[in-house]
Amino acid sequence: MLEGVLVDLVPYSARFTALEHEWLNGEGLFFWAMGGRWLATEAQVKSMQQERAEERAESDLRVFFGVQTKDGTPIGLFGIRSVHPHHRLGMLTAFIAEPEYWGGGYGTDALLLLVDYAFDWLDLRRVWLLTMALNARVMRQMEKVGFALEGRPRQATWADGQWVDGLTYGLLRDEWPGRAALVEKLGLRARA
Amino acid sequence: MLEGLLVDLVPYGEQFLAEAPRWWNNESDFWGGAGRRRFVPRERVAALYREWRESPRAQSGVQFGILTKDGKPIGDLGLNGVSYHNRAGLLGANIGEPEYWDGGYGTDALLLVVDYAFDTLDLRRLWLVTMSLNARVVRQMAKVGFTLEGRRREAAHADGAWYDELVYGLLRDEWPGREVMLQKLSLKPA
Repeated sequence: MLEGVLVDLVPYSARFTALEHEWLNGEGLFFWAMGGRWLATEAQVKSMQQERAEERAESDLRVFFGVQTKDGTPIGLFGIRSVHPHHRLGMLTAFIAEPEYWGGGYGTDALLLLVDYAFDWLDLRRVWLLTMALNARVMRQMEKVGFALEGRPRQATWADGQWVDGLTYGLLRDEWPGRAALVEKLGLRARA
Repeated sequence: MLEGLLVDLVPYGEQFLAEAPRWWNNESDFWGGAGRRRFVPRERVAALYREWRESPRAQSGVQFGILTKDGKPIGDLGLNGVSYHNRAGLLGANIGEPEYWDGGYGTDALLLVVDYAFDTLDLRRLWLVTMSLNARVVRQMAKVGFTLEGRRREAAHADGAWYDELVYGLLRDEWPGREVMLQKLSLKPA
């Protein structure tokens, strides 16, 4: 378990997968899937879970964590995928599925844990992620946490009836002051 | 078959797979694979290719082989990771025979696949990734009218140094069509 201030990262177990059907049909999906609104049936979710397990068995190196609050409520999924041991980089994926936990520092707390884990445990030297230009919450977060905007794939996604640019952000290990420094800087505090 | 001036694009099949053990182990793989230097045994190549071919990324798209006008296989070109919702596709190409570099063969193939993606598949965005060390592709992108959209800092480790990866994109609105590009680049039959 990776212990944060507001959340802990734990193995992504059945407790989390049981919520996926609900999560993948909720408002969080729109932001996670760059404008996707999937209307996924339970059978589709099961088959996606199956595919994911098979992919993992094949070649794509990845680590998935469940995000839970300090009282153990599962609220999302954070992970590193497409880990490339030669180029020592990985792509972050971050999904706080429960909207009542948006804007409260929960996602940022999880992100700090994940970045520390990527650099200090996996020995990566670069992490990056992709979001869309509609996602103002992530854009603010990237700036706060110190990711650099590295790319803007133009009109990369179709979201709610319009073409929206993608945004890619990257962070190198040299630029990372460590989780403790950022918890301080951002003033993250445990909820009473 | 998509007929160009210097090359034709045909479905990727056995005649290309027969050359692949050489192409996967020579200098071309360094450029096509972000600084990679693989040592792939001949007998592993076909199996690895089939694995890749069955991946969702390959299956969503179209895999071409590149033939010269006299029928010699010189490389491959794939339109991968096609999203029909976002109407976008990712290009990947490799000219496996170094004596066909810098002669317009790759560019001729690129013009064919761009036209095919926009006019036949009705995509509206194409993109590709290369490393900053690849001056040949950087020049080609400028010539063909792709826009540099991103720079993934230090994303490629090649021959002992870290290089940025460059991301290029092209939208259908920006594409004057293959005929115009042939004219502009004055590509001529061999």
